[in-house]
Amino acid sequence: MSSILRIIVGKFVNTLITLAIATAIITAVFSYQSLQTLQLNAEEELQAWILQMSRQGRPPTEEQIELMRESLYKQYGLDRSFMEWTFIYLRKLLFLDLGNTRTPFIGDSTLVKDQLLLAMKNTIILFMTALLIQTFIGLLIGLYIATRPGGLLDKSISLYGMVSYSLPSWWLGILAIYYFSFKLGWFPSSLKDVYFQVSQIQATGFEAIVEKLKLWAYYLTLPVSVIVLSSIGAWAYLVRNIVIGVMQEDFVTVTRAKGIPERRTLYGHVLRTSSPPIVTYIALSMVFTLGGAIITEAVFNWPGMGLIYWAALLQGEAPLLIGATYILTVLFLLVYFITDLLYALLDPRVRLGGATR
Amino acid sequence: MARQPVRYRRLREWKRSASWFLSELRRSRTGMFGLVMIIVFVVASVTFPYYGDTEVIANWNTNLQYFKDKLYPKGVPPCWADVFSTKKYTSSQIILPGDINIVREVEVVDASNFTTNPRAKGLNVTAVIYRIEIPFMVDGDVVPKDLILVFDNVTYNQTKGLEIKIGPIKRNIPLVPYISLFYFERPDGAKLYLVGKGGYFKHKINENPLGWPPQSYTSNRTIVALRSGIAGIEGFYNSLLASIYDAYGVNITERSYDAAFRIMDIIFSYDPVETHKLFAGGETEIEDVRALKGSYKMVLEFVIPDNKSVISLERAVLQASCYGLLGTDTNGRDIWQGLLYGLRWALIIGLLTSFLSTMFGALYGVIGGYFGGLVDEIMLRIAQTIYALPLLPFLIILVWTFGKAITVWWIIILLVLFSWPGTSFITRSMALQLKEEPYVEVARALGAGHARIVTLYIFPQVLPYVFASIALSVPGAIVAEASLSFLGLGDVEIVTWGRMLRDAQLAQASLSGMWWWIVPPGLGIALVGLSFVMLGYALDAILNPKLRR
Repeated sequence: MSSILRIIVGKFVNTLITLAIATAIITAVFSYQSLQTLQLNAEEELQAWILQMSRQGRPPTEEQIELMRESLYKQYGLDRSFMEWTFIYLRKLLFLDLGNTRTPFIGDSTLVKDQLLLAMKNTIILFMTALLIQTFIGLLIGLYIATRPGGLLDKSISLYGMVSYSLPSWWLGILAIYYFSFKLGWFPSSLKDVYFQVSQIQATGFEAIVEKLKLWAYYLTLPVSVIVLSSIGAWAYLVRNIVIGVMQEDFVTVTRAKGIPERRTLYGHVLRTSSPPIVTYIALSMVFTLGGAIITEAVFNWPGMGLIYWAALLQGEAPLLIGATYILTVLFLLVYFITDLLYALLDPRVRLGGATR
Repeated sequence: MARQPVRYRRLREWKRSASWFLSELRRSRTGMFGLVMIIVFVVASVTFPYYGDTEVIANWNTNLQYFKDKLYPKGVPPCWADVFSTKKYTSSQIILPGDINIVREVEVVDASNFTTNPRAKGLNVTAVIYRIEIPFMVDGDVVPKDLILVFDNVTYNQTKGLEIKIGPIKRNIPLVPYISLFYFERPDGAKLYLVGKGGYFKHKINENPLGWPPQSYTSNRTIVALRSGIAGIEGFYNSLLASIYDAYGVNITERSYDAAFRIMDIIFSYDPVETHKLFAGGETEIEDVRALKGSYKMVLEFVIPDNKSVISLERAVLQASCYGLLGTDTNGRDIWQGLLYGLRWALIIGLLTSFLSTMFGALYGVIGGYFGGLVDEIMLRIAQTIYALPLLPFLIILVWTFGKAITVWWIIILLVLFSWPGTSFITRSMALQLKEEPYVEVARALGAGHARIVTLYIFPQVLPYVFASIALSVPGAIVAEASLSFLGLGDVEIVTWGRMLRDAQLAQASLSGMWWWIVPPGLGIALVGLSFVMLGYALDAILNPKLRR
């Protein structure tokens, strides 16, 4: 038992170090950007002051301008050192105290923190739904083709996996919106008002639940299908490879020789043994699709992290960008950490004190 | 047999292994497909200057005026797209001065026509009346995109104005030209007026609907595009409805803002009354309107209050409702050229990024694995840290920090910085095994240094894996760059597929049904990526037989 504790502590320390480095990079970018903005503002105010003085017929001398600049810089806090600022911004980042945006991009609040948390919630809703569906269908297809390697379905899935691996999933989103939203009119093209629509439901009791489910299905079908379609090929192929690898092991031959039905061999023994790598890959693929699919969200106007990025880049809202990146990083590392733990718990070789890797 | 110099032996070995490799590759159908496609892509991108339009590319991002001047139709589908439709596209037609009838008449006109100033009433001005008659053919079922008048000389002195005396003071009243007649004669005989005598709209001065007649200036090239020029002008719309009543006997009472913006479509439509009803009813695409085929005549008459004015027409262009192989975008840019040129950058970005990152990662892993101990531990930690960072969000904030100064080379460097660790893990574990091999031990016993062992004895052993890995990581790099460009973080100077998709997204191409703008760039990314993945898998199977499942 002590060995597993050691593994956990080791992984935890690793994660913390990575988080610290990531935070340092983000903070550096943050303070660099903010200081530039501050300096720009200070210079603007200085120019305004010079203009005002000249209009009053008292154009300031070079000395006066320098003095004014100094006092303005002091007022804006630009006389502090970069390190000092870095610590200030570090604290802001850690507590997500990132101020306000000019207009609310998501929800009603202009507070960056509120918007980020709401976006995170929505992103998780979308991705958990997609991930559940993808895991389930991918496992079924993967197991099916693993028992019939070289078949037509096997070949088409591997080809499909290659195709979907090499195209951007957000492009599929654009195509889906073009065809299913605008051409056929089956689904909404922008998902931003989903909460408003939910709040408009008048029915009560059981009916309200049905109505809500219908509405969510209406809004989520297209993005979820796109995310699932763009990753299911590679995922099913992966399950196939893992399962085929396990099926060539001796213990499977033994279970078959014992006369255990094929179905029970597959689901009881093979799947159980393949579960550690499969679970790891599920978690990792979640991390990777999340990274790439934020643009898919932006394409669909889903009020999640993707929309935050899209809007913040268009409007030049630095705190929102920084905060979004920070939150995503924390989430990534959390998932990594949990994945590692799960792997350790699922794999008896690790659990019972074998090699760490 | 005389010993050949080492150099030649090497060359022969290379030849032998290359021919072995090719014969192996020939057995893999997908691998051959990938290789052939890649060769085609490389040849196509290198020879672009010989068959592509480099001028289009040079003006793509920086000079949209170019596409206006060259009279590219805006946002039209490719010309082959009507194959499956019963409605054929109208082809473009250039009407040369020989067919255009310009009548110039000098006439004395009352000055009150040119100004709102009440003092001008009763004063005479020697003005010139220009009457331009342009005959043209509509040969398809889709309404032409635009009718454009290209004037090669417009000289007119406006500053002269009209001199009047108020008591002892002399004053100059500026005079403004006006349109006196403007109508289209359709193949069915109907004349649809926008400006006319009698009950029709009389063109008010101070309103300059077409950007024409010119309010001032001399210019040697002026382009007047009629579609946008007549759209939404209330007077034109009133006049049109009145002339529809005169020609067809149908009184249209329902007025529509949408219809007023599509006067051009109504004029060219098979049945103007029905078309107006369609527009008033709500959203319609341009394909929903059926054009009336046949010969038309456009008559534009305007009066210029300067008897020395010179106006001559170079040509008129009836813009087709389709363009080239892949149509144009809303700025009139030829998408086929963009697609061809984007291939070049996709290959450069994909190959360079994957080559650099894989090579660096491989060397990094080998070094770590070879030295082992603390060095390995630290190097592994660094690699793991970078590996655990979310790629796209980090790229976004870093590229965004660069701002407008970002170039494609910096993007490649950043991509390399974040994508090498994956390879290093594999080569590290390979090096851990390889360094225990007897031949490495022999080399060490013979006194070979660390650098020699790593580069000459261990690194070549991991190269087969590296080659496959390079091919397999090309699509990832292309997609990553496309994603950045799509977010507006790409190099502003170059034409890439990601950027084309961003332009399409910002112009709401999917809303307006411009599939020829959104499909090709993504398909390009997918096809290039797929070719490399196919080659990569084939390489993997041939070069790493141990990894074969």
